[in-house]
Amino acid sequence: MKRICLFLLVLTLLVACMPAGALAETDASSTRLVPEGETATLTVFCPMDANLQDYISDWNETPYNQELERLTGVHVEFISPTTSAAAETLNMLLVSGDIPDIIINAQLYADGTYQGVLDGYFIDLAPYLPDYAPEYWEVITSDESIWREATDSDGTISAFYRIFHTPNPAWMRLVLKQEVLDQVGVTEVPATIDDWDALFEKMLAAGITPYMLAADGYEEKFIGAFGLREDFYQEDGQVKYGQVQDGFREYLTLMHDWYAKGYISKDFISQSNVDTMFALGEIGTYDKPIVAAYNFGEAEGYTVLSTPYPRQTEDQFLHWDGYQASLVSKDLNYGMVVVSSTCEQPELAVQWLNFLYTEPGIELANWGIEGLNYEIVDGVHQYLPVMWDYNGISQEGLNYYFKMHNAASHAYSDTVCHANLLKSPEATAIRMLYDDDPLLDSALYLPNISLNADETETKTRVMSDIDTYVDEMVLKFIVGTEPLDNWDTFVSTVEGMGLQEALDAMQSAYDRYMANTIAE
Amino acid sequence: MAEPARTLRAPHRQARPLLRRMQRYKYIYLMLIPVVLYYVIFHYAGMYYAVIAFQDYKPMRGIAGSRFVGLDNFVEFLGGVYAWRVIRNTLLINLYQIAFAFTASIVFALMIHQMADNRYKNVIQTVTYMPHFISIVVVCGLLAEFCESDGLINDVLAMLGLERTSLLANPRYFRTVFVASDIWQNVGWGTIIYLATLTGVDPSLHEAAAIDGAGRLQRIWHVNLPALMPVIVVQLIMRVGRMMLVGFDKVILLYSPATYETADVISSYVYRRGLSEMDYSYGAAVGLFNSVVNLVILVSANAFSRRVTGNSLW
Repeated sequence: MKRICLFLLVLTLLVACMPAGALAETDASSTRLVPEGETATLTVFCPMDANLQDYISDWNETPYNQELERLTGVHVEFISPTTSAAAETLNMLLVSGDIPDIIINAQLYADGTYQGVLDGYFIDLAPYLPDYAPEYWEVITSDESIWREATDSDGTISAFYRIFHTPNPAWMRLVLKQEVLDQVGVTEVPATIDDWDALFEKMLAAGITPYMLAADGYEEKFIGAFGLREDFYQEDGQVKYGQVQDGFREYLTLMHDWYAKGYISKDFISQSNVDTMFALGEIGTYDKPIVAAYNFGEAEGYTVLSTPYPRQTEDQFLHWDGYQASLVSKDLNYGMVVVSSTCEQPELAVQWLNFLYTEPGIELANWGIEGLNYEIVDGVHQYLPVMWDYNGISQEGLNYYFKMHNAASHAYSDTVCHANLLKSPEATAIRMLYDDDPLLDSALYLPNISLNADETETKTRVMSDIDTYVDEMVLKFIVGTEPLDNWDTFVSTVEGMGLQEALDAMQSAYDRYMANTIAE
Repeated sequence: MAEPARTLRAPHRQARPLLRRMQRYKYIYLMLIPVVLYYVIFHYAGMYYAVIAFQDYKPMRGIAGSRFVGLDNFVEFLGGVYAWRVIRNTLLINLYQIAFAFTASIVFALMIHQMADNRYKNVIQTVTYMPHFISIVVVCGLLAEFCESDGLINDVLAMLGLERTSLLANPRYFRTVFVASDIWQNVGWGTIIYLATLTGVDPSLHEAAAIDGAGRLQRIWHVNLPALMPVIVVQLIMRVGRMMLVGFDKVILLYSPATYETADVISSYVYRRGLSEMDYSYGAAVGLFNSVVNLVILVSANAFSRRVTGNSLW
């Protein structure tokens, strides 16, 4: 009942805020994928956005999806579990054999989409793309690096990906509150690990818990300062595993030291309500999307500061950054989509997915609906106020209500079209701050390589036990239940569990990846 | 009078074959159908799918199309680094539960039974039943809050002069938290069957004992406890039959990699490998192994009890 009321309310509001004629109805005749007067239906697995789940029960309730249906003429039946239940729901659907035509968030398939094709769940898109997805085909064949990321090494193409026009600047930062810095008498944001240490000491003395480390004990920014990345990465073409490197021991030593001194929260493993604790000044810093934190702080009346990536010395060159590494995004929610092998109209499914790489689709996914949530003034897109304040839905939620922010489409960078950033010049500025870091590149980044069946089998078999062991030991080393003197035993245990086999599998997949060139 | 009745009834029963009995009591047998169907569909038909434990099962290829690998999955589990740890954790948590939670209900039932004031007794019973009906997710959410270093439990510990520590982050405290919260949640519920039995104890036994000069404790020890004994034994056998089982829901809601050492049990391990990592065959193999061991334990416990106490399930 509440839902229906809410829905009616939304509808009335929608009608009310649309002065007649203001909504520039684009002509759908050129964009329809099925002839006028006919409709086609696709079933689509698409987890519900956490910020929207209290407001809508079906994706078809959003203006974005209604417009998408109007433009394409394709009706969609959504299967939308909550994000926390998404992986299990998908696994159940796959096992039951009752597989939706299209699966959005295909990264939920644990062995990877390429293996999903080999397992027979998803179709190889390669035969369809040139004819039914010419725009997407053009994007992925435009550049060698995009081609490598968007295809699997043997010519298979297992998924559609969100592909950016220009790189997306880093969005996660260790955030600080200006008020807390003032309170402890620090004027500059920390740049080196020593600066952080000194800041933490002052915070602790002021009764603030300085640092809420991620619950799993990994913080890529501090790990990166020791010259490596967590899990698999590559250095000069050689695949390595971060957690057994000497640099990782130094990282753990630092974290253990901070934990023992009380700099890291005693409850970091079972943390909850961290945003609130930060807002109240109970914790000093944590890793957070910088613009969201900034805007929230602005609304609540405090100032959020961004920080540069931590370094051992101010002139250290960092190589761990992954944000700029590729234009192809494979880990964002909604950014990776596959077509299932049980889909009866694969051509239509491919055409429907390709729509978001055509001009009208790019406009819709990136901006929304002209006249409803944005307008074009002197050739420049500008969001209307509803984009930040509509019906109680949070700003994050509205990005998936009027538009589909992370959809697999040809995407503009956040700095161009993300409403949170465009809210104010300050919001944009804080995202861009430190983005021009001259001593930073992605040299250690391991691209998203595709493992073949044998390699997948080897990696899964070896790594599922290693991951369990390593994740457990990392926390124990940090908390101190396992002394770091046992580091060598730890490394030899991991090696004894067959690490080298997994490294060999990754290496051969990586070599294939690098040898992959654009198909004619 | 009793003699002829017994000799008459025995042949009478033998002369009635199953079919005729079914005809005669057909409505009772009709009522049985849903239960039989439940067991056939969910407990027996499902057994067929245990065959995937011997395969490299891929759902899209089906059981017929998946590769047969024999005992590979079992060898991988038992030869793996975690087999002993998850078996040990499962057994220890169950042992602690039997030692503390199982006995707590008995002691609590005996105590409630001694209460004279009926209204007070009712209030106590209702209050202790209630936690049983709270969703395990909510219970674990509460526990996580209480166990934080500035949570309720630590406030008490700090008052006693002990050091504050995050209880759920330390493998040493996991079993304590797990079993203690289990007692809190289920102690009241567990008393029901014992209280029902105690109500049936002949009051004249108590009177006779009282006349003979038995105090309250002695009456509990010599009258109530022997009366409970058959129920306790049956309950214990059934409890021991679940020796290799720990509900994975509560474990995965409370554990973290930091506490795997004491918290990771067979069911949570199967959940991670089988469902999260989609290694269905491996999960099925571990589950099947678990069931077989369980069966062995149950049969042994029953045989042991029959020989020692004379009480048994069959």
